[in-house]
This record gives sequence, C-alpha cells and structure tokens, in this order.
Amino acid sequence: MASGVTRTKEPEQQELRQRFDRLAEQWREDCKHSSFVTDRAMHPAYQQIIGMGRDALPLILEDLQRKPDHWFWALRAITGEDPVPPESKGKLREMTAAWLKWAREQQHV
Amino acid sequence: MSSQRLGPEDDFPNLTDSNHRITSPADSSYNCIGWAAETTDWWEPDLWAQCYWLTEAPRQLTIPAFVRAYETLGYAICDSPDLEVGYQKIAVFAKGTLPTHVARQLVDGSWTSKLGELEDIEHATLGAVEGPFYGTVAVVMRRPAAAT
Repeated sequence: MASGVTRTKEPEQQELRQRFDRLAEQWREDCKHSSFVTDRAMHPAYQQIIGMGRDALPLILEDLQRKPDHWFWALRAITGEDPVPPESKGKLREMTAAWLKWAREQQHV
Repeated sequence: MSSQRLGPEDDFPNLTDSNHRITSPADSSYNCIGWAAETTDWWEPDLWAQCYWLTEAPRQLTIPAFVRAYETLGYAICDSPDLEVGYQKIAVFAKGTLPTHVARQLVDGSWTSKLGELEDIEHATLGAVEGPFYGTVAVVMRRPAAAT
C-alpha cells in the first residue's frame, strides 16, 4: 500500500463508505445547477469529505473511476498534489485521467 | 426531449414547457461559461486554478473579470439583448455583484444555456432562466458574427 493512506478495519470502512456516499449524493443534488467548482467545493458536504482526509482518498478515486466528476479540489486539498498538466485544466476527462494515472503511480488504485 | 429535473420546483420558476427545450443530455464536463464561448470545457476563474481561464483576464469571480474574459474573445459590452443581424451576443447573469451564469444568443434570437451540470437548453428569452438561482442579467456583450 502506498504511503499515507490510512488502513481501516472492515466495519469502519463500511461506515466510511456509507458516509462518503451520503455526502457525495447530497453534494451532487445540491450543486447540480451550479456552474462553479468554487461553489461546489465550498458546499458543506464536500467540505466534510475533505475533512475525512486520507480515508476519503480511495473512495474519491473509486468514484472517479466510475465517472469523471469535480473531485479535484478535494484531491488537491487531501494530497497536496496537482498532477493535472496546464493544458488539461478545465477538461474533465483529461483531469480525471491525470489523477487516476497519479493514483496508479502512487499505488492508491 | 423533456426532463423532470427542470421547472418551477427547481431553481427556474420562469421556465415553462412553452419557453424552452432541452437540447443535450446532462453533462458535468463543461459549464455555461465555456459553453457560451462555444467550447465544451469547464471555464472558471477558480483560485486553485483547476479550471480553464483566459490568461488575459483576472482570476476573480467578478463581473469585470468575466467581461474582460469575453473581451479577449472579441466581445464588447452593448445595450440590448435584442437580435442584431451580423452580431453574436452573450449575457452574463449575476446575483448582486457575483456572476452566476452566461447564456449565448443563437442566430434566430433565442438563447442557449448550459444549466450547471445538467442539460443545455434553448430558451426564448433571457428572463426564462432568471430567478432565485441565477439572479438577473447584469451585462450583455456582442461581437461581429464573423469573429466566430
């Protein structure tokens, strides 16, 4: 396992996943009309996901693998990294690909 | 195409079946700001620079920053949203001083808007998407259609 990802026990993982899913659903529903990542990233549910820290990392990456979405502020906040090249900024699929490539290199996925 | 996701029960009380139509599936990969500039990228002057923004414009969520961004694409502020032959127009919406949305005029005088991560719609008037979520039109800009 790569550095920095907290190992959690099975019931705790389930609880984390349920909490993440609930928060992500609330975030998506509340922000569906917003045209700004800035607003989305400030949403309380998104902030709570950031607050989960490294425990949220595999859940965010798993979500990104299913469907590109605006997790980049959270990923940057949690990891301190920004693997997206300048030419890919604003291109959701390319940004997602850059983060998943980073995650594979770091053995997070 | 129709949708159960838009309408008075949401944030667009002025949208009715007769004044708009949905023209794309929902897609979270681009926003109204990019769509108004005829791209399918996510344009935003976010402080963490995760999104595309024109380098000539301030990376600020302000009306002047939006005006500057579209000026670099050849637009200039104008008085009226009415159709003018030979010009393409955009409208920047705001709540107070905060930009919320951008719509682009189509050749027949109607408007196209990308609603957040949802669908693109064509709407007959700018007022159709005014309301509690997007506020009202703050600035209208135009450029020669040949610049497109």
